[in-house]
Parts: sequence; C-alpha cells; structure tokens
Amino acid sequence: MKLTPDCKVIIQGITEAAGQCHTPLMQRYGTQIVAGISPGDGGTTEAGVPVFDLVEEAIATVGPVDTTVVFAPAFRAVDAALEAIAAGVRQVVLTSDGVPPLDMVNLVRKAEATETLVVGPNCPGIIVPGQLLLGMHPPEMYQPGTVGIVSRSSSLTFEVARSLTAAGLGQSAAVCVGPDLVVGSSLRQWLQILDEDDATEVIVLIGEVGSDSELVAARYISGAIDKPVVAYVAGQFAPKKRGMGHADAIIASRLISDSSGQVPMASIEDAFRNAKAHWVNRPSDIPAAVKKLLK
Amino acid sequence: MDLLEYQAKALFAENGIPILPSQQIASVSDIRHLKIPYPVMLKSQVRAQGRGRSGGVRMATNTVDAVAAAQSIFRLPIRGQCPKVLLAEAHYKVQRELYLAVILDHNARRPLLLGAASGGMDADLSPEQVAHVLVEEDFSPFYVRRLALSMGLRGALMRSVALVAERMYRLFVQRDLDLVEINPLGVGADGMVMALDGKVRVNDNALERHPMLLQMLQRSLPPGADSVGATSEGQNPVNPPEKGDRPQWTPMNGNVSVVCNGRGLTLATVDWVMRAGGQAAGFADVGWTTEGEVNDGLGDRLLGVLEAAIASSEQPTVLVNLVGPAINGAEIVRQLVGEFQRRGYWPASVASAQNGVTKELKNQQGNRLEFSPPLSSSLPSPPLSKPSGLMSDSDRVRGTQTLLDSPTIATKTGIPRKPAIDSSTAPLAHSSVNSPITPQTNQRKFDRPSSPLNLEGVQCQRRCPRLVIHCSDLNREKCESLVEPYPIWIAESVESAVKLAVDISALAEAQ
Repeated sequence: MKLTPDCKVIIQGITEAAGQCHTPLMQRYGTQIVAGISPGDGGTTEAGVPVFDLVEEAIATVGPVDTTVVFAPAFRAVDAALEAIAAGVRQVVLTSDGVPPLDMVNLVRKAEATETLVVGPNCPGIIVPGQLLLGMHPPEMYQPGTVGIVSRSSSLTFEVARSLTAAGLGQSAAVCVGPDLVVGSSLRQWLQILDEDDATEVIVLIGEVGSDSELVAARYISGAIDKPVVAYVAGQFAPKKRGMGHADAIIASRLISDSSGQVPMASIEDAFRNAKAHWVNRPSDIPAAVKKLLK
Repeated sequence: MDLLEYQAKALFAENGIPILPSQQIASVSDIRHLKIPYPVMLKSQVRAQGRGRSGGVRMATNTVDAVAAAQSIFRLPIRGQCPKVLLAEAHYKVQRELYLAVILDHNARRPLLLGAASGGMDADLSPEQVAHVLVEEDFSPFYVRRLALSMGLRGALMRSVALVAERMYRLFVQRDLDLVEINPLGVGADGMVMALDGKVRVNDNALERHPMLLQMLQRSLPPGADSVGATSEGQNPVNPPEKGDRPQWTPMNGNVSVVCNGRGLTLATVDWVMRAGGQAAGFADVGWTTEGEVNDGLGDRLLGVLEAAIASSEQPTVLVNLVGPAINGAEIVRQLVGEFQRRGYWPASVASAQNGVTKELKNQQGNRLEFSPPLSSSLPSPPLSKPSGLMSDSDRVRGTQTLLDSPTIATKTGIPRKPAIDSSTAPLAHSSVNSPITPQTNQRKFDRPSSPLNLEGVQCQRRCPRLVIHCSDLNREKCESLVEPYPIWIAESVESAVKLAVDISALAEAQ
C-alpha cells in the first residue's frame, strides 16, 4: 500500500462534474495527479493534466500509476476500475454513488485475485492529513496527527474529524469505506491497516446501523487489534426495520440477528464493549474519549 | 423493492422455471372468463408477507365459489394493502415442498445459494435447516448440484432442483436482483417440480438499466404514489425509488424533525437529539453533493422533504444539519427563508407587533401579513418571558435575534434544558413599543448575551415550524439579516444546533 505524498494518481472520469470539481482540490492539497482518463476526450487537458482515452495509454506516456480515483457514473464505475486493474493499478478509490452490488461482486473477485485495494463505492475516499487526498474529504476539517479514522459514513466522518481537529487532536488518516452493503474494502480490513500503521495511535471507528459489518469489525478488534479503539455506531434510536424474509434472516444469522434479520444495536454495543473498545453514545463524545486513550 | 407474485412468475417463465397455468384477475367479473379448469387457487397480489395466513389465498371449486372468494380477497387488506389484482392459478397436488433462494451475502461479497428439504408456509426455515453454497468464483452448474445434494436430494429430483436453482441464479445475475426466492417449490407425484410461489426483489441502484423491471413496478403501483411516504426506515414497499429526487421521510414520535446530508450524519443527529433529552419526530437524508457542483440540488431536496418534516408533529421544530464540501450554506438559508415567505410563516410576535412593524414588513413582503392572524394576544406568552416583564412586542421579535447573535448560546455547554430567564440578566435595552422593526439597525445593542436563552420567536403561528440550521460552511453573521424575522436560528456547531432544537421544541411544547 502506498499512501504517501509521492503516490502517483490518475482520475478516471476527470471530465465528469465531480471530477472537474475535485481534481483541482486534490492538486491543491499536494496530490500528484499525473493523468486523467475520459473515453472520447483523449488528447485534451483538464486541470492542467493530460487526458487519455484508456488507462494503459496514460501509463505508457506518464509511467507507472499507484492509485486511481474514479468519478465515472455508477454504471460505468466498475468497468473503469477493472480497466485500471488490468493496466496494473493496485489502489482504487470509487466515489460513484449507486453502483449495482452485483457489479461490485465482479470487481471484488478481480481485486482479490490481483491483491488490489478497493475503497468505496459511494465514498469520499482517503485523506492522509498534510500529505495526500484521494477523493472528496474537505481538507480544512483535518490536521495531521495520530488518530486514525475508519468509517462507513461521509458527512459524519467530516464532522468527527472537525471536532477532533477543534480539540487539538490531529489525524493520521481517515478512510470512508462507504455505506453500501457490498464494498471493496471493509471496516475490518481498514482496522488492520490502521493497526499496522506507525503514525496511528488511536483508532476511531464510525459505523451505521443496518448492516453487520460493525459486528464483524468488533469481533476482529477483540481478536486482532492492539491499538485502542473508540467506536460510535449511528442509529441508536432509529426505528427498526420491519421483518424481512427467510433468506435475509439466514444471511444475517450467519452472524447474529433478531427475527427482523437486522443486527440489534444492543448486540453491536455489546460486541464492541466485549472487544474492550471504548464505546461512545454520540459523536461529540469522541474527542474526549480519544484524549483519555492517548494519555 | 419486491415484484408482485405474478410479475415474479412472468420472469420465471421467461427463464424456464416451471410455473402453473395462471391468469390475472383485475375485477370480480373476470372470474367468468377463467380459462383454467377448476379447482383454482385465487391469490391476493400484495407485497405484504403472511398472505396465506391472513386469508389472502383461497381455493375455489366452481364459479360461484370463485366469485365469492374473489370478492372477499379484493376487500381484504393484508398489512394495510388491498390487492389491485388477483392471480388465479391451477391447483397442483404436491408430494412435498422445498425451499430455494439466491441472495447476495454482503459480508462474503458473493451470491449465496440457499435450499431446504422442506419448504412452504409453515416450514421451519431456521438457519440450521437451510443448506447454503457460496458462489466464490465465476458461476458454473456444479455450485447448484452442490446445493441440491446438501439439501439431501438424490437422483432425478436432485438434477431437476439443481436446474431450477441454476435458472434462478442466471435470472438473479441477468436482472441485477437482490433476491430470487421460491417457497414452496412443489414436487408432484410424477417428480415434476413447480414454482408455486415466488419472490423477486429488484435492486434499486440497478433498476435504471432494466427498463422492463421499472415498467413492471410502475404498473403495479397505485396512481399518485409518492416516494415521500410514511414508511418505516429502509422499507419502501409500495413505491419505486425516485433517484436523486425526493428524499424519504422516516417518521418517529417526537417533535424535532431531523434533516441532514448523509445517512450516517442523519442517524447520528437523531441519536444526538435523543441523548440531549429531545424527541425526534422523524428524519430524512437529503444526500450529499457527489456531483461536485455546489449545492447540486441540495436545497431542492431539502424543500422537498420540508413538508413531511413540518407535518410530523403539532409543534414542529426542524433541525437542518449539513456537513461537507461544496455546500453553500448562505444559499441554503436563502432558499429556506424563501420557502417560509412563500408559505406565509411568521412568528406570532411579528403578527401582533405594532403598526410600524406591520408597515415595515408589508413594504418588504407585499401582503404577506394576511397570513398572520394576531395570535399572540390570544396565546399565552411563553413561560420563560413572564418573569422578565420587560419585553415589548418588538423586543420579542428581536429576541430571535438575541439568540442568533449570542455566541454563548450556540457554543456554551450546559444550557439548562428548560431555560428560564433570570430577570436580573434579561436584555434590558428595549426600544419604544412603537418603533418599527429595522433589521440590521442597532441590532448589536440589543444583543448582549446577558440572558441565558431568549426564545421569544418560539411562539409561532399554528403549524409554523421553528427551524434550526447548522451548516459547515455558513457564516452566521452574514446570514442573520436573512432570517429575520422568521423563527429561524443559525447555530455554529452541530452540538449547539442540537441543543437549540431540543430547547426550542420543549418551549414550543409548553405553549
């Protein structure tokens, strides 16, 4: 994995509205964007970088690429990612919202086979404060430090980062894996990455009720994570989903669930408490909890 | 979102999954034109579960029977839904019933095949009874043979069940489905298998590239169906998604309506409100601006959900919390104020203020004041203002401003949940009763944050919402003039916004 300022980055969908908006913001943060990809726009220039029709053409001209940030529309996002993987890119950030889950299944199969790190879809990506922005985090809410954030939410992550920054607690990295049910990399995988990251001293995990990925993460913490973890899962008072069908319940029961097929909040909380994670009841309690753990 | 049974079966037939001869019945008179020989099964076409147990499925042996059965099924609501269509289906004598399904296992991130040796309405489908096979790599028929064998099937039945499962899998992938389920798969005396009931759940994200499914859904929906319905969280059983259009409102029982961008922030803000002693009235996620353009329809989505947010309680307090890049907070405030103007919302204190005030507002807003009956003379003053006894009507209007301008209000912690004005520290600067409201004039003089919390603006017309806004990119000072004299407060942090909303809702409730 390469998340340092010398990371070479391409933008797929650089001429899409989001690409046009966020490419200059990433450049301003110091991210080295070496090329843009936009089928049909090859030969033009966008945000001062050359645009190519294919990822492999870009690589042939500008040299090896570490990461692609994909702004392609939802139905073309996985194709873009597969194209980048085929050209040898091993880090993919998918920002696109609305990617069909079965597309993701195909991508995940390919990513696993090629050991490619996929973040997203439907996410603002990764920020390493002071070093690298891969996606759409608002940089002004972050500052360099030792708190690693892993989250399923976008705007909630920004809010937590802002409150940490306001409390003088900088961040080593923040990643949003996206709220979708099928994601390229999970909370669990990022816990492992942050646990191994030398710059990270405390990990903040932000989840959302409605999936069992938090439960998977909690169980992973209890077995494999040495660093202190602060956990908050949003949706403690949200009304429960209604009963689901048999098949959903079976899926959910592969972990734990009630008859509705939804993991109850109490089980999530229990799992984090059992894993000796520091559980908080609202996002505003996170900075104080982090401070305590840093001592 | 689920298709109706007859629609699912049309997809089954297309994909070579065996189904019985059947006919759609749109009205009782259609029974006379049945081509299927009796006995027939008449089945209510609703999305609700528990159809069989509720009497939504009946057997009829002759036309008289069938007419009576159809009449009663058309009138029978199942979990609140009445069918628009019945399915008349041939009767099938079964030896045994099986269960089959294909679903996405989102933790494994692979499709999962499910099967049980006994299916049907009353079968025990607890996880221990259900065989499952994960489709790890590209699909090949050995996966379904593995499933059928682990269901305990052998011989010809194993092969025919495996074939049905294979066709279900292909349908699942081809149409981007979330679920294909057959329960029961009937096995006849001759060993023939038959899909007796079926469920197909389409994936909302993929729907756009399957116009045929979209058409099916639209056809089966009640006219005028709207996606802002009072449905429980994450469930939208009657309406297809309107992508990027109106956000969905999830109702709860309190009086603080929460509207945010991003699901996590929305759920967290609800948690926040509840933990601060408030009661959420419901919530909506207006999405965040992935398209990169500033606001990118955010304001429109916000206004689209405002109606539900306001209608959700008698004394609504709406908490708008927007965090992220590419949000122009001032523009959002402008749009919301415009909406308040359009709807004729005013705080009661404005309506009852003196002539000068009225004039001033008329100059600004034309004839808007016709919407504002002089309520405050008939309504009791909010409890907190009584002890002070110092405020004139026009001060009350400024009371709103006092709150807005007072940095301690928005950021101070430990504001009492039901604040009371201490008369010794109440705002003392008050102008003559007859002075007009002059927004931005000498405001600051009145705005020393000496009072703990002045919420005069809380007193509103009936149904006039109080609105608290937090936005990560919003210069409060610049927006203050915009919100006067509306019952709109701008907070500088999420925490203070939550606190304000909770306090305001408590005061509004007390009125």
